[in-house]
Amino acid sequence: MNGYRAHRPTLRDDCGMQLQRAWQDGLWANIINMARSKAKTSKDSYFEALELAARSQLDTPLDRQAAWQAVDKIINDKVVVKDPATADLYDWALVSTGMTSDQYPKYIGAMRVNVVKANPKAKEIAKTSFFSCVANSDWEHAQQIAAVMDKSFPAERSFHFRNVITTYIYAASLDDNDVKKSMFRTLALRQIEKAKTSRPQESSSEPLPPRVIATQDEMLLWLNMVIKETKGDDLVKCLTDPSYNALSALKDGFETVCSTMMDQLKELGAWDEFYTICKTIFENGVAFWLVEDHEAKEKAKRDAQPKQEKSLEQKAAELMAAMDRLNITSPQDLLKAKRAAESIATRTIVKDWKMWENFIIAASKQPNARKALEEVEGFLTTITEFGAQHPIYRTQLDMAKLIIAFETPSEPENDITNLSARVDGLMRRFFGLLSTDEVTSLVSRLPSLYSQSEESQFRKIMLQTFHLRLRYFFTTSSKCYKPSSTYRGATCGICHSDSVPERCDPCLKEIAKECIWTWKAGLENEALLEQLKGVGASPYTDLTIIGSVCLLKLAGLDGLWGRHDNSPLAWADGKRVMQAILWMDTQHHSQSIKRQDLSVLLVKLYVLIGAASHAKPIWDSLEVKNVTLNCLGPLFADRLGTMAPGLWQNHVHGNTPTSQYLYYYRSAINKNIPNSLRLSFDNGSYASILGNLATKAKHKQSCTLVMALADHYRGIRSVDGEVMQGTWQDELAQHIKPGMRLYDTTDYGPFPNIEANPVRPIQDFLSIGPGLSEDRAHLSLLSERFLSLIAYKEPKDYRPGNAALAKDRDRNVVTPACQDMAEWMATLLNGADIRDKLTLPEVEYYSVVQALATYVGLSLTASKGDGLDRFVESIRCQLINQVTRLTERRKTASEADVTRVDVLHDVSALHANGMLRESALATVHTIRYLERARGADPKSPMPKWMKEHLSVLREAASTANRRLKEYIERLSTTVNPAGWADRIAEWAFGDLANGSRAVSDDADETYENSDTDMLLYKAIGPKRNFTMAIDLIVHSWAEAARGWSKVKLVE
Amino acid sequence: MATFRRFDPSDLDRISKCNLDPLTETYGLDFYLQYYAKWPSMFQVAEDDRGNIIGYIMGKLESSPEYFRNYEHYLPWHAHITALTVAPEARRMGIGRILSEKLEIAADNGDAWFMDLFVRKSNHRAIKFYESMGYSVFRVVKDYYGENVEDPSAGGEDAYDMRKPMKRDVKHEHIRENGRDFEVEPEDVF
Repeated sequence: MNGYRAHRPTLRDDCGMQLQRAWQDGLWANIINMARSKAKTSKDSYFEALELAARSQLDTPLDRQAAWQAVDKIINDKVVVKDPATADLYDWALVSTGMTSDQYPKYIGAMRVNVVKANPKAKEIAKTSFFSCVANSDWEHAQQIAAVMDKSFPAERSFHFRNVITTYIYAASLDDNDVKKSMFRTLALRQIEKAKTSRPQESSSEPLPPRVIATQDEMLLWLNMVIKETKGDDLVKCLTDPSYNALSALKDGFETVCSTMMDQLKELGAWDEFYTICKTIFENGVAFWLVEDHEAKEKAKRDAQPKQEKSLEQKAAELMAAMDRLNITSPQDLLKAKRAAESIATRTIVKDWKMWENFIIAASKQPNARKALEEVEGFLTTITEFGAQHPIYRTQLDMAKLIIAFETPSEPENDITNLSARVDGLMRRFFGLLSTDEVTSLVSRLPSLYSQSEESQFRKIMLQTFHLRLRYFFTTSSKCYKPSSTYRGATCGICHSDSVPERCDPCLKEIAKECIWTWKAGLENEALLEQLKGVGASPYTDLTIIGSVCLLKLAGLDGLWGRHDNSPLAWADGKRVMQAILWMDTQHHSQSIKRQDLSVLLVKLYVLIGAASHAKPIWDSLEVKNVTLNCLGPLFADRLGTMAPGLWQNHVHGNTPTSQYLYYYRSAINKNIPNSLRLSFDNGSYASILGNLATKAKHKQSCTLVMALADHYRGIRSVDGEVMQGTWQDELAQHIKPGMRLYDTTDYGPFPNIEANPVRPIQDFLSIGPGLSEDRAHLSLLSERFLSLIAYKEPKDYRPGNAALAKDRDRNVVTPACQDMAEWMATLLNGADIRDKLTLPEVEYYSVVQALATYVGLSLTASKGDGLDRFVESIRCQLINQVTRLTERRKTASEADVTRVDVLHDVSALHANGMLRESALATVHTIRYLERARGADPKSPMPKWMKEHLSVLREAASTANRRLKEYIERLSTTVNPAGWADRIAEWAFGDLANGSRAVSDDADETYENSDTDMLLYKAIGPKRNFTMAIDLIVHSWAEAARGWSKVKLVE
Repeated sequence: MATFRRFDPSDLDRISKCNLDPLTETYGLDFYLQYYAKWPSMFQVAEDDRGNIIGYIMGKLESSPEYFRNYEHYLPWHAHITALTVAPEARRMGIGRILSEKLEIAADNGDAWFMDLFVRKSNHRAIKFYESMGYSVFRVVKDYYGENVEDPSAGGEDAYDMRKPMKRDVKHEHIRENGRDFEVEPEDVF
């Protein structure tokens, strides 16, 4: 329900105390009697509306429908309601009885317009009516009200611009083929253009008239409309129009307008125009800074002079000056104020990094690029001098100079002697411009920077960490590799080993070892740790992340996740994975202030190894809630509904991992955004109005929203076995139609950004499967709709007069709906890159649902089973394939390795088993539906072919369920016995953990004679966090097993 | 590198660098949108090269309600810093200072007498930062914060109400030199 409608309307003053009190107390029966009696005596239709509003609160359907019938009559009889209080009552009554936004325009929107037309000079009435329409997205009537108000109050600028923007939004809300769309769009554009062109050309001391753009927000409205509605060269022409362009915007002090215009020129690739305008902006900027600097110096001089007792005249003059500044009324002062605003806006904008960056690019595209770039460098150097107190400006200038160096046409000789200085800290941006030789040269030279004995320990650890980070970065880049002369792959430019591009195992091993060595040494240096803490630096976390990621890659985790197996862990080296986890966990717990990148990595890894309940407290410590759910939620919650049924056991109390998401979206869409829209209108924040509408659309069409819905229902099904009724009509999903654009807003920013190859970021190989996508969201929603449709059951007391007719009707609804769903799903599943967007178990699940929908769509009306066999066979095969793959992997393990493989296989296959459970459940519910639809009528028994089909499907579903039962039992018996902690330690560290291999003495240890296992074991072994981390993993597996033991399989 | 601009609601999908920091509170959508709707020029963000929000400041322009005009703690038209945060990785670069300066420009444009903010008495680093920007303590609000970070057994922690005069306050009438000696109760604060 929208916020504005949550409250009961206030009664008119002429209602009397008794009625007012009854209304406040909700004494509906009393109100009905009193209102009826008043209506009789006064003949005032307001009291009829009051009676109907009171009746709408009663339980009987007749009473609840009464207001609807009354409004229907008003519409049919073309009665004009003029009283605003009457409209309020009807609005409230209809909302109370389920009016949707779709019904609003017809029932209430038109009535609101009539009220405003009848009271054209009443601002408050207009305001209430306008916001009522806006809250219901009834832009047609909102526009009519805004137009009336604009006409009634031509001197009020807010009404004029409200009219313009409402007309524009109304035009945008209409379908493309609606003739009114073009008409209203043109009207809005003409209105705003007139408001802009009516501005005086020259700076004036006169206040601007009301229907002319005066504020930055009004100018932003014009600009947003123009950008949206004008394309290509026409837009460039418009943005560079001498009568109003970015320079003019700065003259007005409109910094945001100026930067938006410049952004657009950049987007349009109008680099010549950008350069010309930008150059003038920077010339002006330098001039303003010089003036500012001069005035500041003069003031400092004055302040430094000894203060003399001021004369009475001086004091009076100062007071007058101060008074003048307080009340800027004279034309000169207005011009002075405008000039000051221009100075501030210009000085601000010439310090902005985006302007610098684009100015350099624009200069590099000039015919004489060298000269233009030199000029730019001159501007930037001068401007930086005026902002030297902010370190970021010095960094900006360094970066700008570097970009200029690279953008300046190069001289013939290519000297690499100053290479380190050229790329220091800027590897990502300029890496592509360096050759492999330059890269390897740089990497080999870096250690010399920190190997000097006079270096401080602090500087040494920082440089060492930087070196390892750089080396890892290069190892993950194709730049590091040359084609091999003896081998089909490539040769690593750093260690010269034969390798596959972007993955040199010897380098990864070396980096991991060096990270552990440095990390271990550092942990024992208390003084250095204190120093690092004092400045907020955490190189040891960086070392842990880089080293652990190397171990994960060496474990084979960066293979093609999930595309060919149940989980990315299916074929990974469990030893390396476990080492990486234990290392990261140790570092995580050693820090009082946790680093978000390490926390997020741990969360992903724990989920990956099936320890979701252990991942949860780490996730909870990140406090992802409210607005961050939309972008960060998927990092933890995605696919949880298939993996961790235990987290849904309390769903009847509304306590599930997804409930906070659904609450967030309901509040955002129904309350927060409409409220903000209202505030934006009230405050004349026109850009915010458009921003709020875009936010609403993005929330309603969010992939995270669909993820939450799908996981919510899957989680509940896993515990209940039943399909929740009403999924089809869920208000959060019902507006999403197949093919509609959906937005994936997942923010991967919290992950470490250490890879050179942006195609394979870390999060890709640490996840159960690919991230959110539009296609996956549509597939999951279509599947939910299919399940909701076939599991629909009539209420128990429903007794149709004609059962056969009711069945026909049901078929007439279900058949086309299933055919549509099957068609959409087939299109999505046949998409070229669909395998990159789904896990293999998901591909199989959606294929099963698609085949089931096809079968239902065809079989309900089929008289013969010919042609349907292949769908049955397809479903059977998909189910059996899932079962086979889940069973086969276990068989491939060697006898000696069986325990380890068993557990890792089982805990990492939670998602695959969850999808198998869903496939079996969908099949069983489809069988049940078909039996209801075609089997219950003795006059028309189920045909033999269908009985045979259903028997095949039932057998396949039973096989899947049998396999799931075995899995659940085994999971429970495998992870529960004691002694697991020792076994995990052995997996991770082999002989070192069971005592067969002696742990070396630190004193004898050198970098050369040590190995990764030994170093890591000594650093994180039993003396540190090791045992606790292992205990928590085992506990979490036991939790997962407990959760799965509560799963209800549907037979 | 950072670029500074007005907040847009889509920024909420890129604030993880700031809001995963335990010292930064994540509020409900209505809170952010209220500032966006009412004071769009006073909600500024710093964005890095990759589109991440690495700092933001939220401010507002207001006065005490008119019926408080004769009340001794009446606040005339002024700007207020509601939140200022910079991502841990982007600290010590002057981003917080630049964001504050941008807010001051908006406050001057809005004709505010002064800018104010509340800070925990124990937050010495923040106090030093604001003092270096020209803020001074105007008054001490007793037990303004429910929890005392330095002494959990205490009932609460005092806040410093810090102020900086804006251009309109030519005679610096809205600040005082000995603000640490003026104590008020939380209910006196608008």
